[in-house]
Amino acid sequence: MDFFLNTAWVIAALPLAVSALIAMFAGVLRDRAWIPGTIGMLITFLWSVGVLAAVIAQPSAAGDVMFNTVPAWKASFHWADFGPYEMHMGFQVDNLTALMLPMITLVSFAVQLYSSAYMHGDKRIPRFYSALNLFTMGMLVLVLADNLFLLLVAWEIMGLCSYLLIGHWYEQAWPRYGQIKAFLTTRVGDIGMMVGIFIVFFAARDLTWAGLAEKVPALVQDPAMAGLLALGAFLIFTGAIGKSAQFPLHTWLPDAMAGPTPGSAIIHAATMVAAGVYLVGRAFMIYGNVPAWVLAVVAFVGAFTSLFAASIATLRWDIKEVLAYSTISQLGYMIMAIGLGGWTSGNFHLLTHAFFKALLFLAAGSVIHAHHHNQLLHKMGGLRKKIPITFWTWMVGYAALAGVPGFSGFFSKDGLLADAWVWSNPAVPAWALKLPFIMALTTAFLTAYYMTRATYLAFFGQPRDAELYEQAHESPRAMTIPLVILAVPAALFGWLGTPLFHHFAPSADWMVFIQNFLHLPGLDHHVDFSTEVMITGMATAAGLLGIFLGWYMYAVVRPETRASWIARLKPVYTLIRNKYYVDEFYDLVAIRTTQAVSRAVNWFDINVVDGLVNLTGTISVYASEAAAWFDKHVVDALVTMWADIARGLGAFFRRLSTGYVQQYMFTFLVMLVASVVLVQVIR
Amino acid sequence: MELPIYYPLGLGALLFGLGLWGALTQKNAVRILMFIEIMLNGVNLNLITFSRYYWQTNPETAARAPILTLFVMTVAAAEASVGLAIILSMVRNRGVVEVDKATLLKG
Repeated sequence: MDFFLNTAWVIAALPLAVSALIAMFAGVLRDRAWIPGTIGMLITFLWSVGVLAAVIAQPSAAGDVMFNTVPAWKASFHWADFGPYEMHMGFQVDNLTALMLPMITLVSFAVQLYSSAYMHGDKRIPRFYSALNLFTMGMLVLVLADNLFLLLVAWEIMGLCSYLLIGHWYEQAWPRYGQIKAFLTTRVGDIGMMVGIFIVFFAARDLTWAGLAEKVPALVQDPAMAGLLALGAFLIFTGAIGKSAQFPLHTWLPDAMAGPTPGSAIIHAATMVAAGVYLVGRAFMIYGNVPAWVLAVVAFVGAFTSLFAASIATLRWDIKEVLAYSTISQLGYMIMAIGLGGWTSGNFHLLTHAFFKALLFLAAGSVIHAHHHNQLLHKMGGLRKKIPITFWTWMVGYAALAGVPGFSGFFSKDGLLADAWVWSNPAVPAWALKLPFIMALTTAFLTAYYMTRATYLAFFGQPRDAELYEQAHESPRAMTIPLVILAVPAALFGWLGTPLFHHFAPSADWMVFIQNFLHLPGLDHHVDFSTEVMITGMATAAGLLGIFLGWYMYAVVRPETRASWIARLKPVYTLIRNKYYVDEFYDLVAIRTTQAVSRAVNWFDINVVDGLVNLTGTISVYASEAAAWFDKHVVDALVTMWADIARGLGAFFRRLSTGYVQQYMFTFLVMLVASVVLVQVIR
Repeated sequence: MELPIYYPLGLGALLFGLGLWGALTQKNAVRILMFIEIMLNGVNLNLITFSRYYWQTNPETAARAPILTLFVMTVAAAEASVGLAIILSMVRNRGVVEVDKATLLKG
């Protein structure tokens, strides 16, 4: 067991090696790229399970779960010096990481197996698999990282890979638009995050989790330092807003649907969007200690996003878009839970959501595959008889997301609603303390409603497009097996936190492991049994009411009646149908302003900067012409003058050289006589 | 009674003047060469006269007295052969033996 723990780095190294392998041998592998990808990810998954088992076998003390000052395994090296401060890079495995690793690798494995059939016949299969493995590697490094800096590196690797996956079909306009939008929108948050990391480093002179957990509680005693750290924490949270698609940076996620559906599944379940939630949870030693307004902001951003996105999802017609807004809404839940101090329920919802949302996306992909790439709900209908396996696995995911009692989503949602009920935060006025609970409960109702709507429209009722219905067929086994694999944790994972688990736990270590999560020092929100029952009752009632309303609206009410209701609620309908005009707002504020500034700068460039450059050019030309004249008529003339003198002398003296030898001899004689005479005269 | 030194010196000067006149006036290259030989002979006569009258009278220098004359004769022989070779090749290449037809040195 310790073998797996001591070689935990393999979990990050293997997908990277597989990614590089696929990229290098892309020409050889072609359609077979799924083989190394799937096998590599299966090994990585088994390795992760080994690590989890090793961590369970040697659980750390209760207090270490959240701040993991004593991780189960740790390996780091001295990386660089920033002035007098040493930077260490390394991996660590603690309880949270150990839980995340199997989730990430299992979802990635299911997605890769699924893609072998879904992407069949695609032109760029090796590219897709290489990016998938690199993406998974990024998320694995992110959860293994023992410091904020390595986390940022992994964070950006995922940013790149999401860009590659969304833009897989870059010949078309929408994927191109989606990939650039995803990249740039998350970048807005990342800038804040980087500044936040700088501030934290400036304040604490350390970026490792263990170091921060040790230093931050002491630092916040000083009010000025506490304020600075609060600013840093808030800025880091803006990174999470971007990556986890929280309001107001949520707009990229629906457009990320332009990529292949398995890519959407991995972006929206196991990796990219989960990273933001994980970051806030992992950096809780900062959030939990800085002034309370930061956590209040986190909670309200999450609560508002969950309600906001859930309302948009009720009126979407594209099956993947419904799921996309659902993802935003559920991420809002997690962010809210962590903001409320519900560290465990937030991370728990992250895990359950990863399973059932990956399942729903893959099932939606199967529906789309069966339906000849039609994604529109109003062309579906009655598909449950045609694609039974997809239907039943979808129903598991649906039940988990809608909060049907007994399925995983029910338990995790219950936990975070309980956290919302008992919330207390000194920075928030008393009347607002119950707002997150009300928002979350409304979201639970809306979630059940829109999921029922999508499920009914896709699988029940009469086929709305007879031709597509006739041609619909169940997906191949490579696609249905991953659905079944994911349906198991999607249904059962929630039982992990319940008292009933006592009876099934393989050993006492398991209970210690789970209990360490449930009883965090300082965050032990004790809810008495009657309150618990009341909250569960309210959540279940909200869910069932949503399911009933969804069924009633689409199964009982006739379309004409529905249209008349819509007509009566026209302004609200238009507002929600257009996604609260956030995209248009950004188009107006961000894009058009940027374009206007660009045009102004362009004008300045052409008329002023270029003008200056051209002026310099013109001056140079005239100066050069003057210099050329001087060269030609003065400098050259001097040189030519000497040449002319030499030539003139030569022309004069050449006449002496007649070519008659006897004349030379005579000259010689004359000179000899003359010199003799001269010598005599001088003497 | 010894022959007065003026006679051999005068004969040498006469030969040198005759050679100089011929070398400057004649056109035929072979003749010029012959006149140059006459000039050399005039010079040689001059040298041998001085060696006879001044150096051989002293027994110590008597043995090496005519050495310069012998050098000049050797050089003259070499010069004559080189000159004849030049003339020969000039005749072969240009078909002339007159020096005023060979004016390649004209600048």
